[in-house]
Amino acid sequence: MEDENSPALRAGVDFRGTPNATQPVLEHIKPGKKRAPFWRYIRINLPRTTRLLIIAVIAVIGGASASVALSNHEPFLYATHALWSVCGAAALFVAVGLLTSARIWKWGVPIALSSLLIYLGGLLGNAPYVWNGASVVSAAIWNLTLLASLAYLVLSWALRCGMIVAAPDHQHFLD
Amino acid sequence: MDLGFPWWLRIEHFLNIIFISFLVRSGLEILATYPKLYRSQHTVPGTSWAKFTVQQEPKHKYYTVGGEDSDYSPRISLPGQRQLGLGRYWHFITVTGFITCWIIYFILLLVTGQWRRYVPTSWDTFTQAGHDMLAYLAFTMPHPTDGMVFNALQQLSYGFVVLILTPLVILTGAFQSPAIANHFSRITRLLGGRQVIRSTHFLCLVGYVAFFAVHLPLVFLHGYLHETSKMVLGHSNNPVLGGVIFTLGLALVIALHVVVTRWTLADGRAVEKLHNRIVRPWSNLLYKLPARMHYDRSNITGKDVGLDNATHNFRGSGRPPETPEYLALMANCYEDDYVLEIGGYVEHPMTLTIAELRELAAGHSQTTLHHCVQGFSSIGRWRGIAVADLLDLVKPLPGATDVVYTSFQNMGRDDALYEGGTYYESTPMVEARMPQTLIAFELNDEGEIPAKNGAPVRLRLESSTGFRSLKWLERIEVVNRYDIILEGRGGYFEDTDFFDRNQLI
Repeated sequence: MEDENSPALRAGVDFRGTPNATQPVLEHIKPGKKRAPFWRYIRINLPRTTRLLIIAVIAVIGGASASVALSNHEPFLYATHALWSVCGAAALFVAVGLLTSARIWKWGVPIALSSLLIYLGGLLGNAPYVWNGASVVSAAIWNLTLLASLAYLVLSWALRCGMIVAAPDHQHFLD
Repeated sequence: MDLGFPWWLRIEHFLNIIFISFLVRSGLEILATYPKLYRSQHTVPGTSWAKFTVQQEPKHKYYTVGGEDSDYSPRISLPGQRQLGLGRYWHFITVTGFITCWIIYFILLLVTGQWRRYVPTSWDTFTQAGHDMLAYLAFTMPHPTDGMVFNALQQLSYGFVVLILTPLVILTGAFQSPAIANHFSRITRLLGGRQVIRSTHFLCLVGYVAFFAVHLPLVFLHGYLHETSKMVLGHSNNPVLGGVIFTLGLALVIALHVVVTRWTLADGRAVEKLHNRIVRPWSNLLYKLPARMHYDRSNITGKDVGLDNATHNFRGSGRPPETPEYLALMANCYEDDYVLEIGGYVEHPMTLTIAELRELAAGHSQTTLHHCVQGFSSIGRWRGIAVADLLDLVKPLPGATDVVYTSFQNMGRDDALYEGGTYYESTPMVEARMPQTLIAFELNDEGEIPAKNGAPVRLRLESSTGFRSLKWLERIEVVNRYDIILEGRGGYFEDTDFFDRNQLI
């Protein structure tokens, strides 16, 4: 009967011999503190949605980079090469993400950081802002590389913290 | 027409800062008590799609729902510190003002023609909103649409919040009331069931927070003094004056939160009095909505319940009595020894064994959704006899007003989470005589009710939150007043904590 009443044993996890076997345990609370950091209280278990979201953000980075590379407004010297590199890496990331179940989100970080670096490079160069003569659409797409990169880094941080999980991983809630 | 910023719109804007911030904080307090969100009506442990706690429950030992709550900081939730009852009081006090304000606002929008500020009258608005989005992304400021006080993207986003998000949050809030959800159970199922409704209500909260997270920076980007002045004076001719007044208003709101949080933690009974004055006049109307549901022990998908949702997954929210008498009853399988006493203010007091109850019930059963006050739900088929039928047998004397149910359970003795006292509940006669108010003795066609769920006999009050469906029932007493029993609030949790006897919401 024990396994019927133990969600952990039903899931093949044995906590017997640990305090959590028979008592509730509070995690992430530092000595002397009453509560854990705010973000530790958030745990979302939507692995497939999260995976799709991650892929979508990288696809936006790749698409926006390609669009900037195709425009006639090069943010700085050789930026087009860098933008196409980001675009290619993003395309590979999206393909692997959609066609396999590999844990690829760590590989998205260099893509996001590269995109961010290109954006910072553009700040020092001639980035396609409206005040630099670019159209509103071009400027919006250029800024999208920044916003999507930041969004990916936030998602990556949330993944590392365990706030979210991406398929094939799972939160494995045992309550 | 000149849409402008009429005085009533500006007042509504300020009031909503108060209402929504109070609703978000008190809502988080309610979430804290069962910080898990599900898609299935059966809240089977480990199947939630989100958790908002750092607590890991015992893995190999029975635990009750009462211990699953989380201690949120009073800086985040209202009032914090595991005060579900007080959080509910504030949520319902505020919701009274919020809905009243929204209805008045909605009517004023219609009669003054101001609805045009939110409802697009041309498809061009959507195209223009796309252009405005691009403008924001390009780090430029889009201009207001001709004849409008803000741009098309603002129009659509404000319209979404006022005319879609707000009705949705009101609807999903209303359907968390057991009285409403169980009276209109078809609509409940149509909306996806209790847990989908609860999750959607939470996502509405996320929607409001996300709106503010975008709205506030944009106010600064458009010009804080300029924009806030419009919401105070109705124009931006004197931006400094308007901005200063608005800032003072915000400071007042923050001060209000601090004062209310401290006051609530210091004097919960005073908050209870305020709640009773504001909320009871409308919550008492819900007694006109008796539960009338009949589930099929399945999910809304129609799939069979299966092992995952069997009786052992019907959550337990209390610990069985630990007296020698009760343990002896259990050892003898209740059947021969258990006797339910029904007496008090009646013509024919009587005692009934389980066999007699079964005979009187004549096979009657109801399959209903349990609404825990904390948030979990389970579907169970309860076999038993309606309290109304028992009352007809014992014949209450003229002047009888309430029915009191007493449990074998003594909270301090049996449950380490709580302090002493016999567990009891009382219902007004109108609730006792509701068709689905039941004395149950069997669960899920699997024989006797398990000890954790209230064996051998328990009460089912389907229009109220779960804790009022008293378990381990020992006796029933008809009375002509309940307010002289113990603390006089009508039940164990009503006496010792901050819960209204009217638990129809």
